[in-house]
Parts: sequence; C-alpha cells; structure tokens
Amino acid sequence: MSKATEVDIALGILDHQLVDSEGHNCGNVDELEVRGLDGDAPEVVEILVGGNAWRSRGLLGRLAASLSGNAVHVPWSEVDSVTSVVTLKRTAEELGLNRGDKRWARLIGKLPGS
Amino acid sequence: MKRIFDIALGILAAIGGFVDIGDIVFNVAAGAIFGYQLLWVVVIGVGAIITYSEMCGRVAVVSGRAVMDVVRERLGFGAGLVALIAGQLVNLMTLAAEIGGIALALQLLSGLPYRVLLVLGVLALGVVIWVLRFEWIERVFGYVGLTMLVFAVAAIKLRPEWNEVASGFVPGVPSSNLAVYAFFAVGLIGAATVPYEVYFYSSGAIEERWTPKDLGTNKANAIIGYTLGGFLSFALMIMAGALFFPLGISPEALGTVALGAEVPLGQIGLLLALVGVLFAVSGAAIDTVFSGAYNMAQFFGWEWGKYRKPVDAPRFTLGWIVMLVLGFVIVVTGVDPIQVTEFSVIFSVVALPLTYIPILLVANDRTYMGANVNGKLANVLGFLYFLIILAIALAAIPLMLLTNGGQG
Amino acid sequence: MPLVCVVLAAGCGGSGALTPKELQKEAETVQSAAAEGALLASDVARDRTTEPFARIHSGVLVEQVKPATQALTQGHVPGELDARRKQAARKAKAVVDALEELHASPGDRAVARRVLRELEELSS
Repeated sequence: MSKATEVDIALGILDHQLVDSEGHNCGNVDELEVRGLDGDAPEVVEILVGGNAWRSRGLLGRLAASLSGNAVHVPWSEVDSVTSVVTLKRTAEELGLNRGDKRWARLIGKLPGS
Repeated sequence: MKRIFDIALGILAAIGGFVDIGDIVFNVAAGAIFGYQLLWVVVIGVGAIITYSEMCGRVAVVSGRAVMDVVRERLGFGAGLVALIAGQLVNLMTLAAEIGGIALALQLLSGLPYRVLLVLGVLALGVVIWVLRFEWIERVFGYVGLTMLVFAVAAIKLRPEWNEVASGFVPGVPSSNLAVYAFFAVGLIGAATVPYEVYFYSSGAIEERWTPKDLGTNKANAIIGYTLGGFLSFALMIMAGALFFPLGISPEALGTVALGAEVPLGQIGLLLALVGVLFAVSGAAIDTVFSGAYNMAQFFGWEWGKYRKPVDAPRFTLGWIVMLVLGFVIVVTGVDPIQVTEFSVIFSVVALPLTYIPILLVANDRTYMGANVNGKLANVLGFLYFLIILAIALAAIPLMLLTNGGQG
Repeated sequence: MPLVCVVLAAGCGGSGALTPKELQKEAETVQSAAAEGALLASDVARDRTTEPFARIHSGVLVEQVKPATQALTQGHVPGELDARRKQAARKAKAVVDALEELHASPGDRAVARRVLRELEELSS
C-alpha cells in the first residue's frame, strides 16, 4: 500500500466509533500510534482510547487529557474491519475497553428495574 | 393501512410535542406587545426546524448515526468538544426553565407550594423516564399535549380581526420599537429551533429503530407534524394579540398564558390549557434530558439508548440522571423560570450555528448518506436558513442588552 | 420581563430619581396588572375559574405590581411630572389593595365583583 493511502487510513478513522465483536460501542478512536511516518512504510501500530489519549489533540485535548486517567491501547491487529465505524475482533471486556461502563453498571444495577 | 395509522400517530405526537416553554413565553409575549405583526417570523422558525429535523432524521436513518455521533467525526475533537460543551450548557438552561414551567403549571392547577412541586415534578420525571419505554414516553406526552389545541379554540373565540391576522403573515417592520421587535423576532426563531430538538430528533429516530424504509415517515413527521405544530405557535400569538394587546397587558407569568384560554372558554379552557402546558413542557423536559445524555454518550463513544436496559448503558443512564439533578439544582435556587426561559432561548440562538452546520455538512456527505444526500430543495432551504441562523446568532446578545431583555 | 433587574439587582424599585421614561414604564406595569386583575376578577365573579388558580395568579400579580408601587412612591421626578408620579403611586397602591383582596378570598364572588369594579375604574 502506498504511503499516502496508509496515512489516509490513519486520518480517516480518527474520532470514529469503535465497536466490539458483539456490536457494543466501546469508545472512539481517540488517537493513533503510527510508526515509520518518515520512512516509506508507515503503519498504524495501535489505537488509543480514552483517558490521556487526547494529549495530542490540541489545547482542549490537553485540558481533557489532564483530567483523565490512562488510555487503553488497542493493537492494530485487533481491528476486524474499517467502515464508518471501526469493528474489533474481540469483545470490549477482553480488550480492556468500556471499563467506565463496568464501573458504573455496579451502581446502576442496584436500582430496581435496571 | 397500518402504515398510515402509524404515520398519523407519529404526526399527532409531533404536534403535541412541538411547543415548549420557550415557544409559549415568546409567542405570547410577542402577541401582547406587537399584536399579530410577528406571525411571519414564526413561519420562518417553523420552516427552519422542519428543514433541519428532516435532515437530522434522514442522517440518522440512512447512516445509523445520530448528530453528535457525527459532529466529532466530521469536525474533529476540538470543535466537537466545543459543540458538546456549548450544547450541554444550553441544554441545562433549557431544562431548568422547563422544570420550572412544570412546577408553575402544577402550582396553578393544585395551589400547592412551588418548591414542593419542583421536587415532585423532578421525581415524577425521573420515574417516568426510568419506567416507561421510549415510544411510550413520546406518545403519552405528545397525545396529551394535544390539549394545547385549546389555545386555537380560544384564539378563534376571542374574535380577532382576521384581516389584521392575515397581514401579520406579511413580513414588515413596525413604526416604532424596532429593537424590541428585532429582539422578539430573534427569540421566536430561537424558540422554534432550540438545539435539543434536533439532537433529540436524530437520536430518537435510532431509538425507534427507523430504517431506510422509514424515510417517508421521517419526512411526514417533520413536515406535516411540525407544520401543524406551528399552528399552535400561531394560536398562542393570535390569542395574545386579541386579548392582551388591546388591554396593554404584559405577560410575565405562566398564569397569564392560561388566562388567555380561561377568558373566552371558562374553567374548561383553563384546565385544558394548564394540562396541555404541563404535558407539552414535561415532554420537552424529557427530550432535553435525553438530549444531554445522548450528546455525552455519543461524543465519547459510549453505549447509549433508552431501548437498552439501564445496566447495559450505565454511563448514558447516569448521564440523564445527572442532567435531571443539575436542572433541578439550577431552578431550585429560586430563579424565575420565565426569566430563565428567555435567557435559555437567547443563548441557544448564539449556539445555533454550531449545532446546525454539522447537520448540513453531514447531510451532504455521500460517505454517510449514499444516495440519500440532500437534494436541491433541502440544500437551498438549508443554506438560506443557515444564513438566517447565523444572522440572529450574531444579533442575539447585542439585542438582548440593547432592549433590556425585551423591555425596551 | 424585567431581565435587567436580575442582572443588575440594584436600583430597581428603590428610592431615587425617576426618569420620565421610567415613570412611564412603572405606570404601564401598574396598568397591565390592573387590566389583568380585572379579567381574573371577572372570571371569579362569574365562577369561570378555579380557586387555586385565582389564588396563585392574583398573588403573582400582586408581586408584579409591588416593585412598581415602591418605585413610584419613593422616587421623585423633576418638575411638573411629579404630580403625575404621585397620582400613579396612588393608583398603584389601590391596585395592590384590590388584588390582595382578591388573593385573600379567591372563591368569593361578591368580593370579586367589588374588586372587578375597582380595577375597571383604575384601568380605564
């Protein structure tokens, strides 16, 4: 694949929705770890989700990052397909995503009828 | 046949749910101060919300994504975050106004103390949202909100000069009080196009599991439903123009609005008016609460949707609960809900371009819309209305300061 | 819609100089409340309303006029306009009294008829 197309992919999926193998939303593509940009075979190494992944996304990004914990790193090998959403090969649980929902589900689950 | 029935039901819900506290306050005040002269501005506002709701609904139906979902993708993290924050602040102000409106309506019906009713009202909203399914919420509040039609009956019974009413639909400027007139024009369009409406409409389409074969339903709901809903706005202004304008009555309270139905129609008019306001504003409050939760969840990529069990979308659920609590906290400080309504409409006008430009962009984007991108009509209307929205966004705060909030 | 009073929270309804424009505005507020009170009183007199509504809304109208009454009573206007101010202040007090009567007896049709007559006179 040409360098331009690969960088295109990187730009094309930023901020897109991540969906796990069961169809659950599990965050957005908040940042990409790209290797070899200055060479002739740049590739996306991993996707960063949540937390301080926003550090490189401008002033507001740095502000948001400073208020958040660590990002989750999702290796590029975990990506199943890329359409308008990025679908992953495994579940959010297995990849360490949606920890926020897990945390709050315990509290919400205590309410009747949840 | 069932399809037509479903569409009709959807339209009824759209009519009953069209009016919220902002529309009520601005339409009645405009009618009391300027008679029928601002009716043509209401037409513009209704046209704008029809155009953009149809676009939002089409985006949701075709791409399966809601507005804020796409704002971040299309505009990037920084601009998306600004849109989110601005949208949420406006949503909160709007919600506070609506919760206050609910308590005022309950107070006028029951005579119980306002603060007690604030608590009861918020609790009732919370229970309703928690317990009822999405479709049921929309139907119940939409159908009962149809009792707002009593204002149409009242307006007719008040025997306005119909040729004067007709001339109100012709654009014009008054001979005096130009700044106040402009302020109300801005407020009327703003009240008709509040951001939560489009956020909610697009997420609602996904909640109701609309698919591309529902494109016709989307058009019908937006066009027929909101046009007929617009008639309710006319009714409010005509009623005020016929009753309050000649007597020099300046409406500053919800009771004055209800009086407009009571004077021509007696006790039954009063009760229908108060029930109608209660349900229309409650429905709007719920839509606003959801809108806030949708925006947060969609921006951050969380699971969302009332169609999911609360425990399957916990952060989304927490989101709407927090919205409701924050709205309550704002209004329990004792601010006058009518004043908060004015502020919320004017500030939402300022945020309007940020809300509407992504919709216009995405509705034209083939990667999301495929063959269902905007046609010529949608684009012409979308662009024209966007220019109007931009103009009023710039004029809103200066006019508010210049006219002391419409006082002159 | 006294938005500016929320923002400034000072100099509204207090004593001090009243400009002719402010005098006009306060007088209009009084007139508005009188006219609206008359509509409400008329409905109470003819049993076309509910007691909770009449009680709550008449109370709201009282609260609307009170700041105007205070401003008119305590303020002063230069020159001949001061006579107008005094007259407006008297009218405002009378409107408040009438509305408070209605507020105290929101189901009493006889009271409502009397209040209606007073308010109709005051707002004519």
